[in-house]
Amino acid sequence: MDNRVRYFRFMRGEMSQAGLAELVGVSRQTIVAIERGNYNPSVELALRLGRALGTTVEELFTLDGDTR
Amino acid sequence: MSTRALAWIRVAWIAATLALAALWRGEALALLVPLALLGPLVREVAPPPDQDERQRLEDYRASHIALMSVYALLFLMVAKAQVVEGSGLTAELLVLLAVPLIVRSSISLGRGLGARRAGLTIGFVFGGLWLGFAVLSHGVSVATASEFPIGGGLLALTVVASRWPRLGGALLTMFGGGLLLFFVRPLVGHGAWGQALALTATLVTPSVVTGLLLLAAASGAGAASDDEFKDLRAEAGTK
Repeated sequence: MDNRVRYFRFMRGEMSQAGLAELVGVSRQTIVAIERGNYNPSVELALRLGRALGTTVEELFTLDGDTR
Repeated sequence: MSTRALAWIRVAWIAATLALAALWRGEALALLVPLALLGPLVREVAPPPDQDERQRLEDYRASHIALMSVYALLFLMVAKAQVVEGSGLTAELLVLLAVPLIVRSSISLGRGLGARRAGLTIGFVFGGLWLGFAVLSHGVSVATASEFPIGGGLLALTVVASRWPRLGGALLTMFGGGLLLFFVRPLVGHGAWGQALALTATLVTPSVVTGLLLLAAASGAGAASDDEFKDLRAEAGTK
């Protein structure tokens, strides 16, 4: 699964990983793992990430090779 | 590897073991024990493509429960040795208790907290335990002073590593190597395998693991301190 979490952090005023982690209630390491593609978040966390970054889950996460 | 292929390997293993037991001796049936590890090992290396995410999660959960069951049995064995037989905790039992705990905690800490915090936690916990062990065993005495450098050294180097991870990590790794050379090797030379294993599990391994985790954290710190949005900013500027 691909993700654009880092891009949306940049778009939200260059939000730090720690700042996003605090907003959604996880550790910074979890945000790092999600951005690197090492961890797929639960539906609940994906929804919270979308809300914190002002976007939708579909914008944040795409299936591999899904160009849309 | 598919579930069906795994099942065929199991069947072949059982058939070979039964044949060996029938043709050679009954004790060969002990070869059935490692079969329990085959599934979890294969799943780690090559997850079955015909399993969905819930089935994989249940597999992991089953392995976790199996570990807890082994721990419950170990606890009973320790209790039997200590209370019923009064023989005390043998080095072999200590190793059986310590190794899974160290492995589990290290992986969990490393993956959950990141290399730096995991390394520091392991160093402080084991250094503190060894220091506490020396003081509680001998009180204020010459013996405590002689054992102090072990836990004290691990603690002091972990403090150094918290400030200078590269230097501290290298020193901790060397410290672990030194302990192996000066403490464990003579024990092996005298055939005291149990004590050697116990020292390796509770002292050498934590020192080396702490050192390597901090070195890994130090090598990743440079990349993390770079401007992480440099490429995106350049891209936005060109639009």
